[in-house]
Amino acid sequence: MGRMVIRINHAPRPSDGKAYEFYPPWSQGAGLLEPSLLKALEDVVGPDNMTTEPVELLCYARDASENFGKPDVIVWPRTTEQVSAVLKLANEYKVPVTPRGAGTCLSGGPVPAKGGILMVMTRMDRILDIDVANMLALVEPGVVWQDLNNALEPYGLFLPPDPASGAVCTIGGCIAEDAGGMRAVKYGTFRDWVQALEVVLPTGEVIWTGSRTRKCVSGYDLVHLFVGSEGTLGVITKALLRLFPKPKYALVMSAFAKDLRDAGRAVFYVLTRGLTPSAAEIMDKHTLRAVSEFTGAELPDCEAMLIFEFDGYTLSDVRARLREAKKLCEATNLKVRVAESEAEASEIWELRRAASPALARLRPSSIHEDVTVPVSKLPDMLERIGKISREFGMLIATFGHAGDGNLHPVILFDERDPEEARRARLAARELAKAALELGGTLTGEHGIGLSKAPFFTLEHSRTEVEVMRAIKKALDPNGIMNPGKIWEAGP
Amino acid sequence: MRKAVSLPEEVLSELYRCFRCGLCRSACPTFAVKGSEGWNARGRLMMARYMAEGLLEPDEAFSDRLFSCNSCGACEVVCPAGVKVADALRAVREALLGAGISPPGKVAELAKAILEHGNPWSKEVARRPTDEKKPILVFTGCVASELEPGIVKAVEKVLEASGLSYSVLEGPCCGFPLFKMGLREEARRAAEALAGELKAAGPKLVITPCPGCTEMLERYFPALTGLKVQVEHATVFFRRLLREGRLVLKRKVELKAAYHDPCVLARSLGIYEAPRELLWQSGLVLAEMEANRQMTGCCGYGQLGFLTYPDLAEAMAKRRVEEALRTGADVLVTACPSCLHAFSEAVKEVARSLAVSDITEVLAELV
Repeated sequence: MGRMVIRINHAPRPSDGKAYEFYPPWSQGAGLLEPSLLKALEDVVGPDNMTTEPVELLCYARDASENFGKPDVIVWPRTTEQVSAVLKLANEYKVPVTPRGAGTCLSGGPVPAKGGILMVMTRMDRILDIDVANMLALVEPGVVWQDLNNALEPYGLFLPPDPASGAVCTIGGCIAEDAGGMRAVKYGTFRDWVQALEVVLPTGEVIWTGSRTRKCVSGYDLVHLFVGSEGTLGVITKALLRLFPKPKYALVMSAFAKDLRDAGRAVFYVLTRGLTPSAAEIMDKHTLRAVSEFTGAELPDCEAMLIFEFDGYTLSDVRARLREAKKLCEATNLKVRVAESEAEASEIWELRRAASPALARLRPSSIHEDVTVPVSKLPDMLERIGKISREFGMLIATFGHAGDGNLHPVILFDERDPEEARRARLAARELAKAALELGGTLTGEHGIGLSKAPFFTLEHSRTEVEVMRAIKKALDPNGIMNPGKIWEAGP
Repeated sequence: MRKAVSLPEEVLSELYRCFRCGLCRSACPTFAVKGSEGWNARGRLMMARYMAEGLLEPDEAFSDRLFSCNSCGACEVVCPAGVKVADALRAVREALLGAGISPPGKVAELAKAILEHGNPWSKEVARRPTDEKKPILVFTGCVASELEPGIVKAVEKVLEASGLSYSVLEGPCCGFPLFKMGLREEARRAAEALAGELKAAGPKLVITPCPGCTEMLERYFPALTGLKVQVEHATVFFRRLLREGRLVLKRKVELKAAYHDPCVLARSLGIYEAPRELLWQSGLVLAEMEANRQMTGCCGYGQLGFLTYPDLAEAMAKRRVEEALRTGADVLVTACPSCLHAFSEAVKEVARSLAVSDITEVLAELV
């Protein structure tokens, strides 16, 4: 190949009212922060926990989404008191503050859309308490998901929601974005596992909300107001998490459907018979083709592949549920392969894990969507995705969590081609519309952030948005916490 | 006025393949020490991309982050997009230098030393006179001959015990660190100098205790110098000697050993089992470290990082020693002069009770 050189003009440009372009014209920084503020910040966190180096600012301008926003300064607080002091300063100077964990977000949540202070929580990373008797863990927000689960292992406990970024993502980020994962079909998302929180409010005041008890009807449920609030209502500085006994057995099977409707019916039967799978995944034919080419695995000709996992505490129970599920799948014309050994189980999971890398090889850029529909509408949504793909001439490959209707259509394109990038954004909008028409939601586990903010009012009424705004105003009178997200559709 | 540095299309598409998922945070050893994204694989790929897009003017801070990656390849193992990070960053460094931007001061000094003296030490080093032609030539590599001569003695002792006739070549530097850092031309010149001596010696087989020299001679010498030479890492050669019964261990050492997979030997050359086989043949009981085989952590001294970014290299070495301590091992064994040197320095500060040894030294004790 010749040394063909491509120069790209990606310099963020002012909004011209057109659809999204790469990079979306977010922040180039709020402008120069006053030296007195920088000095005060340095006094709070210390010089080693702060930077204004241009290269670092740029490295923290993005997450795993397409969004871009450069902070003016990065701080790494180490205590609740420091978080509080920084927020007080931000209020005094009216400067935006964006909290960030590992920056694995797929919707732009930790991208500082309006510049200002980026508050990276990764240095508050202590596991403070593992309360085995009550199955609770108290942690700081920067604890990495995998580290917490490793620490729980000796006690036979685990924190069930399993985001794909678990090896690196932080608990604070998981709570702020209400992360889910493959096991959500059985165990729910982070919302279901957060029992109490210490939060520094945007004004700098610190509250502890929630209870150490499982049941608690004492006042408004503020805990779940903060879960999924995407860093717009305050900074989480401690979290009390529920834990669960780690299942001893897990069995896996795959099932191939020649018809999407059959796949939908199989999922329906398995769920409604009370077989409680701990995963019910789906990959469509585009994903399977890519996976097959990538891994060399031979897969039957089909429209979709399902993967079911059943976990539990006795082998007989798990095996019985798996057998029942096999029967139900075969009755709906699916071809079932049960993993007879651990090696075969990992072969099946290997196919699922290969989905992202296999697709990443097809085109240089991708938008990972997160549309979620009622489970019964799964086949309809898959058909709508196919239609949108043809209409916009875009390759859209879909995989996701069939058991909770949470699909990840991946729109594949080349962002260096502005026309194709524009079509990708338009296709994303159509996907959002289709999910809403089917009674679904814009996002199951990635959050609205910046990516889906332009579509927000498609899902929520004006009055509902007004209620949200009123809550925001009450907690954050100066609008300093993570501005530009959720309902503020950007500049 | 911004200096835009252009990158070849194949490098750009590699950069674009990174969708910034951040999984490399769990693997990158420089990130583990520095704790900010610019020192992580994701950050480095982003910076390179910003540079090509004209958003970032290469400055000192940028160069330091780019050149401090010692190509250990841990990020590539966890990368779901399969980005060839080390190769991509090498190409970016090449492009940067090609655009007339100087490398960081310490890197330039290293290149100068290697080209002037044939070694990284910025001084003339006495080399053993080259012996007469023998079928086996031991190429020591710079780090072993200057800083860890025990390894050279050990290799010789094992060869002698096996009744093999060999000659020893103590230099010049093969150019591996320069090549990996993107100083291609300087690397080629260093390689040419060594190729000349190798041609003159004309061995059938070169064996070396250094994984970097092994990779350089095997993979890059043919293209850089036109010299194709049969080369084997000492662990692979010694395993063969053991299996063929030519090398006999007279006694065993019963200690608990942690084995550190050198990143080049393991991930680059795929040699995981030969050193482990030598370990158990020696009687050592292996206590695997948490990050082992493909996931091994870099010692920090790879690519001569201890000369270019000493603070970072030392911190990385300490982390690895602390990991070894957690296995409860009596001795930390490795199979690379740079790793050995890293750990020998690090244990002085964090773990005086932990012995450190190269696998060749263990064998030499037992023949």
